[in-house]
Formats: sequence, C-alpha cells, structure tokens
Amino acid sequence: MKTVGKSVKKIDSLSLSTGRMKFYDDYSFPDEAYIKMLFSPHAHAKILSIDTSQAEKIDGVIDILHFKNVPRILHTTAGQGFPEPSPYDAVMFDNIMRFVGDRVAAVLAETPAIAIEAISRIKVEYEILEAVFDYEKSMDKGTTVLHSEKDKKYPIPIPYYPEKNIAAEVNIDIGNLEQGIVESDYRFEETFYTHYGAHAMLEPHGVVTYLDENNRLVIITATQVPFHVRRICAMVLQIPIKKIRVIKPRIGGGFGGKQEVFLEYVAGLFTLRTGRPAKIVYTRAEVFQSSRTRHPMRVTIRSGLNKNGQIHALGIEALMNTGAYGSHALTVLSNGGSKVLPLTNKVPHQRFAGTTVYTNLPVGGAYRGYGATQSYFAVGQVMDMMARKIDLDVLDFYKQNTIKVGESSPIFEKLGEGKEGVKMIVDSCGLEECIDLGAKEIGWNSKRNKRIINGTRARGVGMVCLMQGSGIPRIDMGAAYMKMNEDGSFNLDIGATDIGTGSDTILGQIAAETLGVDIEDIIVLSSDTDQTPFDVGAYASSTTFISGEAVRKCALKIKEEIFKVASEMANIPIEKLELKNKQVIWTGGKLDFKDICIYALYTNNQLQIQATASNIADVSPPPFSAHFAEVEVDTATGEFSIVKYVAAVDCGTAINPKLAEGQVEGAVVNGLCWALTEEYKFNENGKMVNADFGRYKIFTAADLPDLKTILVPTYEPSGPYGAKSVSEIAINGPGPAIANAIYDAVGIRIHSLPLTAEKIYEKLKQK
Amino acid sequence: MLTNIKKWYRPHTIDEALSLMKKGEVIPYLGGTGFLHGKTVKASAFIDMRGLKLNFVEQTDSGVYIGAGRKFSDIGKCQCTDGRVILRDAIKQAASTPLRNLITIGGSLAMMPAWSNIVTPLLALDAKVEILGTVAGTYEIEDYIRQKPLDGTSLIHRVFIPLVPGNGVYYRFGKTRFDYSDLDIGVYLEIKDDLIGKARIVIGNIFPKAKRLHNVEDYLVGKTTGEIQLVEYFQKHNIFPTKTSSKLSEYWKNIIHVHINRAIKEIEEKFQQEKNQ
Amino acid sequence: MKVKLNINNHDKLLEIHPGETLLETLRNNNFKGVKCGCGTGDCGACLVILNEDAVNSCQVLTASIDGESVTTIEGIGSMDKPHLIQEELVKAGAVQCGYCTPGIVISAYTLLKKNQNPTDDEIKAALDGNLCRCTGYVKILDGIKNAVKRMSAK
Repeated sequence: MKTVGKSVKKIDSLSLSTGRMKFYDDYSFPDEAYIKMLFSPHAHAKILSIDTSQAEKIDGVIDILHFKNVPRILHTTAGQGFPEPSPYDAVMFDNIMRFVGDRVAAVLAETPAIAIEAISRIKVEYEILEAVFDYEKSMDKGTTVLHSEKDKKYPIPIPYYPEKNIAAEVNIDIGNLEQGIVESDYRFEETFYTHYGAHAMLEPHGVVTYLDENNRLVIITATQVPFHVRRICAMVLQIPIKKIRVIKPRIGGGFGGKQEVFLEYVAGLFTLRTGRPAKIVYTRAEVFQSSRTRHPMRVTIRSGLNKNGQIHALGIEALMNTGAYGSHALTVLSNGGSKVLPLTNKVPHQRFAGTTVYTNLPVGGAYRGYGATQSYFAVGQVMDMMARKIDLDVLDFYKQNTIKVGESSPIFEKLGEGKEGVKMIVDSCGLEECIDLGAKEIGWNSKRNKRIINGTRARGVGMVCLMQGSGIPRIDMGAAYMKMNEDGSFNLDIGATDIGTGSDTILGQIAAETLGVDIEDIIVLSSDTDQTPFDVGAYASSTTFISGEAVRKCALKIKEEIFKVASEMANIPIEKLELKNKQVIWTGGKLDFKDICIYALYTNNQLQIQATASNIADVSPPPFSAHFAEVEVDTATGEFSIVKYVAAVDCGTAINPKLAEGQVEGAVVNGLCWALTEEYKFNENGKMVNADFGRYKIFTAADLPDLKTILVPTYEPSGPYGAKSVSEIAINGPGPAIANAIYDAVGIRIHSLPLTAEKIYEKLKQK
Repeated sequence: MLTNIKKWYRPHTIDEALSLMKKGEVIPYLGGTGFLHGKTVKASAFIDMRGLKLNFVEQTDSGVYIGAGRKFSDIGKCQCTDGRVILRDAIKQAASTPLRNLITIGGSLAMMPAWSNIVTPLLALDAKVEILGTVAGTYEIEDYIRQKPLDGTSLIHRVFIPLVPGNGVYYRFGKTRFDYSDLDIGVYLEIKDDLIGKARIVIGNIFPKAKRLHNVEDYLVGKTTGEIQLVEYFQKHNIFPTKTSSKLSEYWKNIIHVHINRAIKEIEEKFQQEKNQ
Repeated sequence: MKVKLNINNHDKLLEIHPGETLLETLRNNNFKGVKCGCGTGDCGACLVILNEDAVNSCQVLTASIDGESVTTIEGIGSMDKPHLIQEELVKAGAVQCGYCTPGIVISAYTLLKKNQNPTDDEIKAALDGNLCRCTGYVKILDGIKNAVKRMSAK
C-alpha cells in the first residue's frame, strides 16, 4: 500500500494552524444581521402573553419570531435518517416552555448589541407549571406531563407514551433471564448512575444564512449532518428541498452535539422573511444550556455467573433521562444494549430492557459513545466484580466470555436502530491482542491485586473491554463522485462530513490508494448539498467504513473509465492494462494520466472521465478495545490521580495511523474528563449554574496523565482496505477502567459518575 | 463588548486618577479580566492606569512593596526562598498562563473575583494594603477583607509584604489545574531551635474569602515540632466558624486537617534541610 | 474612538467602540484566525501576543492597549511560510478540528521565545490556558516537543 496505512498530513491542517481555514463565523456578508434568542427562565411554564412592542421600537430591530408568528410544525431536532427514530415533539417556537433554556423568541437586528437590548425588552407573562427534575420519578402517577399535546408521535411505529412522560421503550430477551439467574452459581445485582455531559466542542453552535442570486436559501452551518439539515429545514420552513443549499465549512468539533438541527431554520426563516443575511452564534452558556447533552442513565445489571467462569445470565435495565425533548430518545437507549451485550455473546440468557423519560432539564442528544458509554460504566464494573468473585484474573475472564472471529450474537439481529438489526458474523477481532498488549504496557501482572502502598497512598490497576459499531447497517448511506482533470489530478466530491476528524484526508487517501496517485492529486470537496452527492453525515462511527467504501468503489469505476480511454488511445485490450505511477502501462507501452485526460477532454470521442458510487453496508463490524488504568489513591483524604492510562484498539486497518490514534486519544481524554471533572450542576429551579468553562471543567494539557495508545491491526473484509471504525469506542473506557482501578487500590466501588475524591472518602470512612 | 462604556481617561498621576473617580461611574482598569464575563459593568468610563506606572516592586529593609499594577506572571517569577514562596506558589497556580499575563495584584484584591486566590497567601504573610483616596490608609490584610474599604473614590496603590524569614507552603484544591479553587491553604512558620516562634495558618475560598485559624496558630506557637499533636487537636476543637461549618462536608473538613498537618511537616523538613546545610 | 495598534508589525489606526474587546476588534478587521470559543477567558482559542506575552484577547479591552503591539496567528506564519511550530503540529497530527490550534500555536510560540529548551512539564504548564476537545493533547505535545528539538538543532 502506498497511501493507505500511512500517516499523511491531514490535508487541511496547515491552513487551520495558520488561521486561514474558514468556520461559519468567519463568513460575513454585506448587510448581515444578527440573531439573539430569548430563553425561558422557567423549567416548566406556559406563555400566557408575549409583548414585543417595546423591542420593535428600538432602532435597528428588523424582525422578531415567537410562537404566535411561526408555523407550528412538529419535528425532531435529531439529525437522523428519514423517517427518524425520534419522536416529533418539538416545534420552532412553542407556547409551552419545558426547561430553563427553552426558547421563547428570537430577534433579528442590525448588530448583536441591539439584538441583546431588544431581547431584554420583550415582555412575557408565564403561568408557572410544576416541573419534574428527578428522572426516577418522571413516570410516577400524578407527575406533571411535559408533552400533553395529542399530535406528538414518532414517524415510525415505536412504543411512545408521552402521557406517562415515556419517550421510548425497548425490551428484548434472549433465553430467559430470570431462569438463567436462578440457575447460576453466583448472582449479581448492581445499580449505577451516569450523569449529564457537555460535548464542549471548542466552536460554539451557529449558522449564517442568505439568499443567493436566484433567491435560494443558502445555509452555512456548523453541522455534522448537512443533508439532514436540508431535509428538516425544508419540512419546518415548508419550502421545497430544491430551494435550499446547505454548505458545511470547517467545523470546530461536534462529538454528536452538531448532529442536531435547531438553529438553521430559525436563521433561515429570518432570511426568508426579510431577505437579509442572518447570523446566529451561540454563547458558550447557551451551548451548555440550550443545545444538547449526554443523556443521564440509571443502569441496573442483573447477572448470573457459573463457577467455571461462564456468564450464564446478563440483563441490562436502563432508565434514561432525555430532558425536555426526545432527541435520540430511542436509539441512544437501545445502543446501551446493542453495543454492549454482543461483547459477551455466549451468554445464554440476556435481556435489555430500557425506558426513556422526559424531565424539565436540558435536552439529551447524540454524544460520542451514544448510550454504550453509559452502559459500559455499569457492565464494565460488574465484569470486574464477577471475575473477582471466582478469583479469576479479569483478563482471562474477558477472554473466556467475549466474542471471537466467526462468532455472532443474537443481539445483532434483535436490536437495531428503530427496527430490528441485522444478522452478522464477526470477521475481524483483535480483542485478545488488545488485552495482552495493554496488560503488558500497564504492568498488569506486577500490579493487579498488589495494593502497592506508599505512606497513605495506595495504587491499583483496573481495566475494561469494549466494542462499538461501524455505521448503521442497511440504513446509513454514503456516496462519492469523482472526475479526472487534465493534469492527472482528480476531484473527489463527497457528502461525508469532516467535522475535524480528518475524514476528508482519509477518504482522499482511499481514493489515492485505489488510483495509485498521491494524496496531493486528490482535490477533496465535502458536504455541499448542491455540489456533492448524499451522505448521512458524521455519526454512528460510519464515515471511514461506509463513505470510505463508497469512495473506493467510485475510484475503481474511475479506473475502468481511464482504462477505456487508454484502450482506445493505444488500441490495446483493457484486460492487458495496469495502473502504475500515474500511468496506464502494458507490455511494451505506457500512457501518462495527463495525456489520457487530455485525449478524453479534447481529442476524440470527447468525454469527462467521471464516476459516482453509493455504499450501504449489510453489517456493522465492531471495533474492539481494551483499556487499562493505574490510579493512586490517598487513603487519608480520598484524593486520587491517574498514574497511567493505556488504550489498545482494534480498528481494522488504520487508514491513517496518526489520525486514528488522535481519535483514540481525544476520546479517552473526553471520557476521562467526563468521568472525573465534568458535572452539570443545577439549582432548585432546574437552571444550570456552571454554564461556562470556568466552572464546567475539562482538562488542559497540564492535567494530562501518561496516556498510551496502541493500535492493534486486523483486517475487516467488509471495510475499505480492511478498515472499521475508531472514533467513538474509546470514550467508553475511562469511567469503568478507573472505577475498577480504584477498587483494586482501596477496595471500594463507586456506583455513580463523576468519580470524585469526596465519594471515595465517604466510602473509605464507611469501611 | 461592554456597550455602556463610552469613554477612557488616561491620567499620568494617582491624583489625576482619584479626581477622575470622583466624577462617579468611572472605574480604574488594570488587567481587565474581572470585567468580561458576560455581565454589565456599572460604569460609563474606564481609567487607563498604565500611565501611573504601578507595576513596580520595591525592596526595603522592612519588606517589599508590590505595585497594584504588577502582573501575576511577574510576581510568579520571584526567586525567593523565604515565606514569600507562599505568594509565589499561589500566584503560579492562579488561573492560566495567558490570564496571569493580564491579572494584577491590585485588580485581584479590588475585585476579588471567584477565581482570585490572592487573599490566602497575603494573610499567611501578614501583608498590608495601602489605599489612596477618600479612605486612604494602610490596612492590615485581615481588616481589608473584613471592611472592604474601597468606595469607588479610592484605589489600591501597593501591597506591603513584611520580612518573612520563616518558611511556608501553599496548597490549592481544584478539579483541574486551571480551575477556581474549591479550597486553598497557606501555612507560614518560623521555627528556631525546633521551637515554633510564629505561625500563620490560613484556609481560603471555602469561606466567602479566606480566614486565619488563630486558635490553631495559638496552639502551635511555643511548642516544639515534636510536641504538636494536630490530629488530636482537630478532633477536640472545632476550628471552623459556626456560621459556615454546617455547609462544610466532612470531606472538606478532613482535607483541611490532613493538609494543614502535612504542610507543617513539609515546612519542618525545609527547616531541617536548611539546618543540615 | 480611535486607537493606534501595531498589529503583526503594521501600524494601524482603528476606529473602535470604547467597550470593545481586542477579540472583537481583530475579527472586525479581518484577523479571523483569532477564534472565540467562550468569551470568558477560559478556553484560549482567542490567544494573541500582547507585546511579548500571550493573552486572551476576549479579556482585553482594545482601548486599554492603545499604542501597544499585537501579534495574531496571521503574524506567526503563513501557508507559504509556516512557522516551524505550525509545521511540527501538522506533522504530528496535532490538528483535528483546528479551532483551538491558533491559540495553541500562540502559547507554544511565546513559550519558546522565552525558553528555548523547556522540559515536558514546562510545555504542559504553558498550555494550561488552552482547551482542546479533539486531540487529547498527546499529539499537540509531540508536535511542540519536535519543534523544540528542531529549534535547538539550529
């Protein structure tokens, strides 16, 4: 391989590091106007009256939107495939406010300052309604109901009981869990809690819209899902898709937070109503409170274990808090089973039972790891407990119970996304090697169960094994278009959405590899709904696997087209032609790419050498990973630190090893911060009280522990050049790995996130 | 953007600045980091304090004067080995590198924002705050915190740190390196012939500002380091003021006990090392 | 009001609002490489060099630095002539979404101006004001360490 498997430089990285690349806020247009939103100060309230007259009087106020002057189109803000597996429970502006940060109105003004001033002059009279903040009580009889309107529903048949605050339900059984538990030698029941989390991408959400010369609405937006943006905007704005063009500029990170469509149509409506370019940039506080979050989850694990080390029964019971709206309410929940249970595929009795409920708190959404993160915090600790129960090294316990090449899991077929899943055999799995290499790197054998003590400080090691998926089988589609230029370069136009991950580079590498050219010969254009073919977007760990294969297929077609022209030029049959070093060669002759293209464009039987290809997958091959943590706990105070963290990952072929490592490192540190230092704090009225980076803490480099990433190569036959996904899996590890390491050090178990010194201290005191 | 700011004054002397402040709605601007957190400022004009050249340090026989305009990053460069390490270490851990290039000691004392951890080291060093203007005077740092004398027509001129020949340590507790601290501890001791001569124990940020634990100090002074039984002392005495101790979890109380104890041991070791050299 | 600033070695006379931040002034004058990630001094995406020190431009009022010198990311290096810190970050794979990168470059640049041979801990400490959510910092630190090596080899 010439390009695939090489750490070529990310193609936009020099431009980014010199500040040249443009993000949405770097686009400005003459006559641009600015949007500010008025947000609800109440967690649950009905707007009795809204008076905008004082705001309208301010010089420079152009337009104001609120529930009385926008159409009431029910939709979901979840940027998913169509029809979406999320309830249509949101409207652009509503008269019911369901969380602190729900939007009341929006102002378009000549300057941001005027818009802020106007917002303060809008008079709103509220009827305060009872609010529910404790998601364990959402379903209780007599609890206030968030969505009582009769027309709220899923666009597909899904259990949905808004009158009971239930936004989704999933129940699947393999065998009989109860029977399995009774039959087992040892029984376990443990409940864990995971908390809210902010994506904390550095670029805040925002969008700029304008009308082009043909009065079409152009939307330049920070999105992971440009084609879903176009579809949802057309629906909410009630205009044809052909009237909308969505352009994705550079995106300052997403992690799922930009898989939501909730700002584009507001700016779009202003532009349609006034003809003015309109820009909205969320403040960081608005991002924290009014965009999307990680769904909190209560996870109860009930399991049965036999003395021989076989897990005989494993049930996951999940209660998920989706906040005020049901964005991804079904699929994040079901991924808590579908991306977790197949790892221990041989358990005869399994259950996943999940319920998602509404509360008057910030809205959940897609977030890297997508339900698996929540579930692994629980399962990963129970695996540790089970292994300890029978004095088996947890490494051997995992090896004994986890899925192997050639094996399947009934879960693959039973639990899909909004419908049944697909049957699938695992064709690549490097988990055992991940376990062995990770254990060696952390020094497992010399540290596990040793409780190495220095004064009041005790050290311990813990680990967890993980899997995820690669795209959503038979749902996610990515497409590519390529054409050849007369200098032998190629345009690669892809719907796939690079949000900072490097997918433009990786897809360029796949094209370059297939055509035997350099990455510099591929001109990548991505995510412009007018210029590139469709792609579902950047989510579900799909891009390398789904879109990457589309690119490979497309490049193969281009190769055929090149051969056809070369065959005509040289009068040699196609079967005798080969590609090499930007030439078509055959015994006794060769043609340069550029001469072939010049011939095609200008000489005879003129044509454009071009091709397009789409790709869906019948499978979603899981990447696998083993994570190891070493911690040091101060037994006098509960304070602890991460001594070392190791993530060994099987992502198939790493198309670009440095970028793959970067995905792992980024996800691990994101997971570390969520497990240790991040926390949404609310006051008694449901308002987030730490909505800034000053008090919602994520690591800087100064907090980084010794972190080692090990890529374990395997070859996935269904993926482009053997690749599968890498972007999400590693965020699932830190919570359980560190909790297990804390147990190894001091013998206490923490059942809730974040893992804090205070919780350790309390437990140590009880001991 | 602070939309209500309409004007800047650029005086060259303190007197000029003070007479500008008498106009009202005029605030001195030093580092500026206290102003830009999404809140409005109750002023229509700022005074650019650069012309006053308040970024000085003056060493005298009785101690050191630090100008109100001295930036944290400069104070953090102090090559000291005496008690001033408490101030240096506190300031090196405050906020972040780029913010320390803006934050001034005077601004931090005047505004005392949530992230300021200047008070704890100044209490541990028995510092004084010199104010000019209508409430002009030299304030003991404890009085400064209690009285909050700044009245809008006065400004901090400089901070005085007396000679601190002993040694000290500063601990700070936050979730990350760049965090508002949940708690900080400053301990200053003078030890001669194993006998504790002077002790200043400060806990900060867990109370509205910071507090010296005079009762603990009284217990320490006059004892040899071998005699101190702090663990027992903490068990017997409630060192926390009743008003806030109910809010203080057992966890934080324990952190304070353990780390004050460790601080004293650490300082004792420093003295031992000096003696051995 | 009018202020004089030297930006990237060019004297500029700028018309500003008296309450305008340096971040706003720079972006209004097309220095778009300076990014806003929080507006509260907590993330470091807006770092610029004020005289010789890295500062959060969202925490500086432009009127307060009348007459002083500012270097933005645009003044450090260009696509054609990148600074070696930029080259090494690119090589190390330290640039993912790139929104924080200009601020990281500024922090590294000011560190290396003052300390040609920083320890690993000194590099980490110099980045204590920069948030990055994509990379986990490992490749960023690799890139800066490689830049240090290249500088000391010169």
